[in-house]
Amino acid sequence: MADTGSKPTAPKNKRQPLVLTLVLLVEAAVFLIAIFWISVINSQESSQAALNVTESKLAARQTALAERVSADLSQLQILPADAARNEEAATDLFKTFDLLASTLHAFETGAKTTDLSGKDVSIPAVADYGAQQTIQQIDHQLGDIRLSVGNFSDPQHLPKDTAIQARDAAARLSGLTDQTDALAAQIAAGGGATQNGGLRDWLFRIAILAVVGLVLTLFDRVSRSRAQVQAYADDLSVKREEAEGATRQLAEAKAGTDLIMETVDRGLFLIRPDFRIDGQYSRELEKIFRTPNLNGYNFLNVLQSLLTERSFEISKDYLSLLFDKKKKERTVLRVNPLAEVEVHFANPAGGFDSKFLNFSFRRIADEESVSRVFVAVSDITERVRLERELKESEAKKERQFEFLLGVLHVEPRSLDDFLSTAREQIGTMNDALRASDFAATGGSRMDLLRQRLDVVYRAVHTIKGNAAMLKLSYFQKVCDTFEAKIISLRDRRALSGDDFLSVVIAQSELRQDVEELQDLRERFVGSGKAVIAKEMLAAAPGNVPQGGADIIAGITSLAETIGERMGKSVTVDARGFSDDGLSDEMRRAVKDVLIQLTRNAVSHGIESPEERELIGKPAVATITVRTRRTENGLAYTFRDDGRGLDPTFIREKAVERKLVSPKTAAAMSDQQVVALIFRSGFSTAHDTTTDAGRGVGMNVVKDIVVDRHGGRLTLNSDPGKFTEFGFEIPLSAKAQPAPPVAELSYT
Amino acid sequence: MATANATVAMPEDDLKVFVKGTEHFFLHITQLSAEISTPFIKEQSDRVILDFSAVIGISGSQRGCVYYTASREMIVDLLPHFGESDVSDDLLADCVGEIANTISGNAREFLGPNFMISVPVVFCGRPDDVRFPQDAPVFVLPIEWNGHRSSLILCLKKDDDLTPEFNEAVLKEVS
Amino acid sequence: MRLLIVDDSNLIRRSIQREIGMEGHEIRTASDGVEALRVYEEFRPDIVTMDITMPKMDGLTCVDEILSRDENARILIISALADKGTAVEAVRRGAHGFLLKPFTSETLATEITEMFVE
Repeated sequence: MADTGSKPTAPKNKRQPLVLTLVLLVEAAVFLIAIFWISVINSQESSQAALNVTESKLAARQTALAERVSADLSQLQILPADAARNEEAATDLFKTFDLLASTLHAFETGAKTTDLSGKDVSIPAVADYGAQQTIQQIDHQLGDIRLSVGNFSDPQHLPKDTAIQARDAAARLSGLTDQTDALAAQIAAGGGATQNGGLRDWLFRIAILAVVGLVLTLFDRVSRSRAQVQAYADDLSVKREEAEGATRQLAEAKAGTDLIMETVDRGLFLIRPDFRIDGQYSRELEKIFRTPNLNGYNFLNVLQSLLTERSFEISKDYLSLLFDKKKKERTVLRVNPLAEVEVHFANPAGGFDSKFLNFSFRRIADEESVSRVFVAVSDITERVRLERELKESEAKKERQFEFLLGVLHVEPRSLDDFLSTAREQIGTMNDALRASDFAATGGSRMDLLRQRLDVVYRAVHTIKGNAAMLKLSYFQKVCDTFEAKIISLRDRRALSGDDFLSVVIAQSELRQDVEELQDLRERFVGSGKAVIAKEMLAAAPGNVPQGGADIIAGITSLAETIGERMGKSVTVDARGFSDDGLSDEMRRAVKDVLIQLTRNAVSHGIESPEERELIGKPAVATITVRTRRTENGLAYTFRDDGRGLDPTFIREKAVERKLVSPKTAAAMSDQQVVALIFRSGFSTAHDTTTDAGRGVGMNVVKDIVVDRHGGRLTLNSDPGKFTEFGFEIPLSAKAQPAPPVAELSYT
Repeated sequence: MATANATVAMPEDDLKVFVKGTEHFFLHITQLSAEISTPFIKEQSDRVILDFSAVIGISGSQRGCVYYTASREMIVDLLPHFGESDVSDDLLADCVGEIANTISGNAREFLGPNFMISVPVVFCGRPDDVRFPQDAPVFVLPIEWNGHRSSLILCLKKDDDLTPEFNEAVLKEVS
Repeated sequence: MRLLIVDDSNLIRRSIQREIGMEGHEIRTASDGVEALRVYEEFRPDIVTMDITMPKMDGLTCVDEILSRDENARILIISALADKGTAVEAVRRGAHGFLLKPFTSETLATEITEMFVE
């Protein structure tokens, strides 16, 4: 009966107890009914028996009564004289006879009569046919006697012939007792045999059968139960083995999962619709998020601390989409904003640690809703950094290449010069900005700031000039942009320190450019020999001594470039030019001055060829540079045969630029006015073409010669004819810088 | 010709936010305003870290750190404005932290959504071992207040190569 | 009045205490969110002033936690974070007031009074 299969045997077993119970009930019922019936029969029988006993007794009494009657009659026969006795006898005779008769009647028809104790009792009619016959006979006999007995109805007045009557009656009595005995016997016998006897036997048998059946059923039931229990027990032990097997498998699987969760190199976890992290997650997750005990954590809170506000808002919206069954998973997954996202961990030492994470999501959903979202997160910082570095280095290479192209034409030494100048100027700029003179607030503070701005302006302008000379167009442009920023600041009424942020930022960019150029120069442009240099030398007009060749070559080239752009023809005569004995720094100073002078001359001083021809000048203008040794150092003159300086124009400009008040301007001599060009602030906004107006340039010149080197600066001009600058760089430090001296000559 | 440095936005506006925060702090707490002098680029040889400093990390289109550093004398002069008569080192450090907090919080107001701005971390002493980055310019903004000198130091690098923004438009479509 | 001051700066804690004045007030302090929760449980103040930028647990999270334990807590955020997002978030989480640093004694007093006005 043991079920080896795993299929439940329950239904069948369920039916059996039912049937069994039914059977039991039926058997019990049958037994009970039988017993009941038997008891009914028995009680019937016992009452019957009791009745029978009563009947027997009464029947037996009849005999006794008959004998009494006989006795009484005898009495009456014997002693007619004893009246009392006769009376007694007659009364008794009458009573007894009456009882006898009534009892017989009761036997016959079933009626009440008095029993031996005097109680009334009903007896049924005797059923037995034989008994009834006997009764008839007795009745008949009694009928005979009754007449006689009737004679004695009045005991007190007995008839005279009582004895005779009594004798007659007694004669008629004979055989009565035999009859009554017979009746009694018949009655006694009849009680034993009732129809119920057979029935009761059957019932008894049935009852026995029922009991046996009951026992058998119970027995069967018990044995069946035991079998079932056994089956269950077998089943159970099989199941338990299975369960143990399954538990082992589960444990192994779990151990497997645990192992995976311990060792996998990404964060794996599930989130619920309320965005809380649910259940088991991989250990790596704690490392990635830098938080232990993540169970129950709200994923949104984790994100919020790692992302910028905007990124967080977007991510929050996205997570809602993931849980929205109405949106198709494929589409949602395609717009994952967290596929490559930068996160920021607060560094306890200050600032941030930036990392890049990759989040990927999968829905866990049924027909109606998304119950969970599975999230995998990896740290892709390395990869992203490498990608960026790669991109950056490629971009850098590209930049460098373009840079290089723009610089290839420059002879190394010139490039070095340029770089030195640039670095120097940048240093000057920064020093000016750094200078910590705490002036009072208000006007003088503003002045201080403006001064610094001037310094910066000059420095940038110098670099620009040099860049122009070397045709480093990139640097020219950068400097232009820088200058523009400075000019926009200059034009402001009120300056504050933080306005200089744009300046310092531009400065740092320039610095970076210079450094990149430096880097390039060291790596690509070799040292010493460059084919180009020779070509440049060849291009230089005239016989120029080796010293200072590149300076002259530079300004010649500059003059030609600017001239070309402006449609003017210029030639440079620098015979005898020398920079011997000058330190590198002084050389550069001289170069810078010459650059500025050249630019201004060609841009503004020199007229177009047509104009020149009109006034009878040769179409090609000439710039003449001469060198002279003095006791202090080297003195140079720079002369262009252009327009010369117009005091009126300068006067207007100066007033316009608020360098002097109109009154002062009016009061100044022409010579004094002309010297104003050396003042800072002289250039005007709309003069800021690439070649810059005559303003800053002059200021730079003055700054270099006079302020920085304590040299002399002279200016000589014949309006319409020429402009000549003279400057001297002392080889030793001069005591007092002298203001520029201007001379105007009139022809 | 390619430009060596791609100038995407006007970065000085971003940087001015830090200046504004500093000015705001002094004005509000002391009713005596602070003045910014001209900013300059920190050279190797410049020693800029003073007695008490706080560092704030920022990350966004500019990334790096902002330091606020001040001399002991200045902070000591500042504490009475908080109602403090005590001048223990802890309180001095707290004060610098609060200045930095104000700067940082103010920065959040203007740079907020696209920047991460960290909680300031205070440190004391003149650590010559504060390593300033070599590959990016370090701007020093000197601040004068009540005759005292303190500085904002900005070590920031432009980040042109921001993580590519996913397609917001597509996301809106999907929503 | 029972007051709990939560800020990681001792200076600010002392400053707030001073501004509020000591008469008849019971004042306790905490320097981070975790400590704040602990003290709140024991002390059950009438008002909490809460900084946002703190180590271990930031102010907004702490607001959440306090309100989840006692929804009638009155919390005044005092922070240097001036951006709109933070202010909105603070209110959304259930703070009753928002005060920007640096504050004056007047603004502090006003905010505290407002906390008790329903």
